[in-house]
Amino acid sequence: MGLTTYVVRRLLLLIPTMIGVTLLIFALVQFFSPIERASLYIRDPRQARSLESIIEKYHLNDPPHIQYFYWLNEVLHGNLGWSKSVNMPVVQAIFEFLPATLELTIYAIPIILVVGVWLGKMAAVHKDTAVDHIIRAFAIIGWSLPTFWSAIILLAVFYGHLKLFPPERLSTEASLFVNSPNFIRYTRINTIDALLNGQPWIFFDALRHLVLPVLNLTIVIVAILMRVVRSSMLEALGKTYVLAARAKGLPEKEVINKHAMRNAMIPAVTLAGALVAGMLTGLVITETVFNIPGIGRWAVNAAIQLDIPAVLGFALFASLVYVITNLIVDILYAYIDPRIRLG
Amino acid sequence: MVLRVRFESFKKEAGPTIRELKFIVKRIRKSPLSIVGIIIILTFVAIAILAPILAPPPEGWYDPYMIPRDGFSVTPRPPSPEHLFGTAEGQYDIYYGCIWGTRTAFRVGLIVVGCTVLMGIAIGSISGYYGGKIDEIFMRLTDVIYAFPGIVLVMVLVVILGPSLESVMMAIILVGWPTYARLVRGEVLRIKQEDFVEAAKAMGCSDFRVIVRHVLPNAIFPLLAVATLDMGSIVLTVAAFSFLGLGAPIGYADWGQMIALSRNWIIGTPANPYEYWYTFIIPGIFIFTFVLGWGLLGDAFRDILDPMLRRR
Amino acid sequence: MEEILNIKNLVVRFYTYEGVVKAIEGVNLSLKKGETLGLVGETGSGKSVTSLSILALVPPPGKVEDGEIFFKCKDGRKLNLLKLGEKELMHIRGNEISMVFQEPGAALNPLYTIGEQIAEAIILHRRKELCRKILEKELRSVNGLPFKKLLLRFEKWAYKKLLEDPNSLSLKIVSKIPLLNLYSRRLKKYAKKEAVKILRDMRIADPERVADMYPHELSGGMKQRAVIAMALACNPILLIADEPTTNLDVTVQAQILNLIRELKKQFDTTVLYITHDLGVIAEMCNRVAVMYAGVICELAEVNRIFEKPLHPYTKALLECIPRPGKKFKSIKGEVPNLINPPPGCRFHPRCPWAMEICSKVTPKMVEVEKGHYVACHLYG
Repeated sequence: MGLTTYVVRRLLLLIPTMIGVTLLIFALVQFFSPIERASLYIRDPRQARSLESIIEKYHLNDPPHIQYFYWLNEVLHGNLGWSKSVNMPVVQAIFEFLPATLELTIYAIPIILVVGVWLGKMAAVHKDTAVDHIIRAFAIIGWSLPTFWSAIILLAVFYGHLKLFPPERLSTEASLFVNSPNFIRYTRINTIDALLNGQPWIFFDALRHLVLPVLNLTIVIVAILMRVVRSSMLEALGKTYVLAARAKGLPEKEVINKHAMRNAMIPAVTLAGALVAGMLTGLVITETVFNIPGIGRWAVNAAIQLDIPAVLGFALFASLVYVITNLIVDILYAYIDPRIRLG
Repeated sequence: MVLRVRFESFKKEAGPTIRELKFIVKRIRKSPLSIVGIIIILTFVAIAILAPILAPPPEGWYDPYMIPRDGFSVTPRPPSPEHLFGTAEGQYDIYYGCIWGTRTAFRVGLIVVGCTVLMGIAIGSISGYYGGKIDEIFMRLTDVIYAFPGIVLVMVLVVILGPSLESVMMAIILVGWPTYARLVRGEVLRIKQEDFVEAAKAMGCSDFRVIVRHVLPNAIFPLLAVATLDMGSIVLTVAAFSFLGLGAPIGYADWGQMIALSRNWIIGTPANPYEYWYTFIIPGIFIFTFVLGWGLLGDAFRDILDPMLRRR
Repeated sequence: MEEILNIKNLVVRFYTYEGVVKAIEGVNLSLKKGETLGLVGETGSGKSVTSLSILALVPPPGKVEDGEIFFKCKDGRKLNLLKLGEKELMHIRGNEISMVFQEPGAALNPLYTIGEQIAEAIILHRRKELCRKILEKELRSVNGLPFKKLLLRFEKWAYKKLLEDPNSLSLKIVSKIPLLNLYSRRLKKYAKKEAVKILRDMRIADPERVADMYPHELSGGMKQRAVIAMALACNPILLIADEPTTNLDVTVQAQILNLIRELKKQFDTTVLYITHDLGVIAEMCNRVAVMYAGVICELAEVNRIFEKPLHPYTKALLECIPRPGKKFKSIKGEVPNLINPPPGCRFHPRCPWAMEICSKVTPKMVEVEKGHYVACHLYG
């Protein structure tokens, strides 16, 4: 079948999946009466008088199947309603808060993937030795650790006591500079923008603020990833083709990396995909504790304040991210494993 | 006399299952880490049962799960003879909260895991055994639920139902049963092809009997590890939601909620950054140890069940 | 005929949770050049462990406790395989001694093509030969456009380096640089050509196509041919075949056996054939060693074993072969638990002629007639 055919097929499948997702969100929206739903689109209590006209405009009284298409039309045109918790349209809110989350993700994911896979490999290759036990102890501790608790402890020690790594994204003077006309925000990701603007001190400032949240994420997520890598490596190492590779005279390092690892990566890739998607959809706890204005924190605040359009818009965005990540994972699978692309 | 005959036949039919269970118990006893896990869990069970004795609520208190307050001042107070672990912001007794929080944790864990397991077994076994249209419907349903990031779905459901401990539990149940259903379905699909199932059907056993007496006892082993691990991770998730303000209300005896109360105090005073350590360290240790206990046990189950399942 | 392999007093133990499994207790075996020696025994008799020990591949918790395995290499040196370091072992494995495993597809990594996996072995052991060929054929004259000239000069340097000093630092650095490390593509191309050649030797039609296929696309018989191709790619002196046809259809089995016989003649390989199937033994082997519970009970030429079996176990095995008109017969008793093996002769609990000495003293191998050895108190 070939890789290209597989990719094209999966991309085409994307459309019905997204339709299914929108249907589910729409179904959830239907829990609310037309008046409530109309109020999702207003930005100002004074507009409450014109609720009737809003109901007309968005066809909120029509039978559900017709409504769906009008609603979908609005969505595709970028109108997801008004987020009262942050006083801006939902779509704008997503674009406003995404960069902060993205910045965290960009730094956290490579570290987590590299460290997690390496630790899992080490634990499997040195099974039942001290190395294995230490790594597994670390894994179970990381798994049992509540993210919010470790975040708090990190803050208490490294910020409260040692004053090394502060929360939030930038120090006061850096954020003043960033918001001034002297600084162009290309991507709104501070580290990248700082370099593009030629202001290295802002780069380091932003980096300093990133240390604790990234560390917090790494500890907990590496624990999970490393376990899966370890068990799939152990399974691969027990297979006959590994023994056959050794019998061919391959050096042990090559046996591990070329033969065992590639097979072990297959289940690990699924998990990695789920982790990446989970991160992009908001590191809720981390953002909340470290006070970072990201997507997750916006969603949670919206939930607390019962800002329905925000929560639903977030759900739609999150599903999109998930579906796309799954697609990438599937494509990676097909790339690694010929059995999948050749059927 | 009839009872004894019934018991004998039950023992015989359940024979292989009991043998496997005995094997599991034997291997568990040999693994030191799982013993540690069991000890931790039993300690918490003791605390939960003895909660009214260890931390008696005040006379005529309206709800033992709401932490009594000793005053209303904002600043937490350090541990003292009246308040063994100190008080949190708003003068909630931390000791009381942690002890009764154990009860909350068990309540939450057992209810959620219990419901998801039962739902999963019911749906998974029916889906796997009968196949066909029923199977298709259920599997599409699980696909739809799986298509969503779990936490997001839980959050949306909690918002719709209104934030509270119960809605968090319900949301997790609604989102969590597919995992068990899939697991059970996979096992049922594998087992229903075995000869002894054919034999039972040939003997004229009703479908229900075949499923319950013959298929299920063999299908539930993978669930053991997952359910044990879930006891820990679900309590973690609920604690996280309470921490964020979407779960238990303020003042409720829930570990996550108590750590939420400590948020303003983690950097302490300029003089002593760890001044209010007791507000977050102590409840956190409770959560961590609780989850650790279940995690150790669940891990041990997984290590034992894996080769055992492969032996088949 | 000269001896190429001599196993002396091999002792292998497995340290498991339940106890120490005395898997192999004092095995003595020798192979002469060009012969096919069959190693027969039930499952659990220790045949596979013996073969793995030759290549020092006994998996943990197993350990070789005692013994020597002398092997005569292609260049004439005599080495004790159990005392070799990893580097020398890697030279032996796949190159001087190769192994074919039981499951046809299991020895093949599902993620790489057949050609890639055979080429892997070729690149590993026949690198010098390939480099020489490349330098002669393709890199002899360096001409063309200036950029191309530079590239070719670089490749010439790289392959010369590979020929002389493959572990040099400069080569290691070059392999890490993304574009430069493409020089090895030429090597892989040549190796693949050799792989196709070997596949053709395996009597596979259309070897070029097969070389580009993945293991799951092939039938069981084809897979086993590919595995044999991989094993013979570097022309080893000794081929260890561990039940290579057990999991195949009878017709395919016959094809593979024929193939092995022809290849043996073509490449002059010595074969150690491990099986539990006496029929295969009769067809393929010159000599037979019968193994039971980790010791060798009888060793003789194949005809003698069938005509005049001496050891009670051998006799029992031959009786068990189902024949039309004959009643089904089995050996009474069970294969012993090797954590607590029976004292003395390990077969004595099941032996119809057991004497008192059998439960006390372990019998030694004695030569009863020329080339016919038995380890049994009935004969010595």
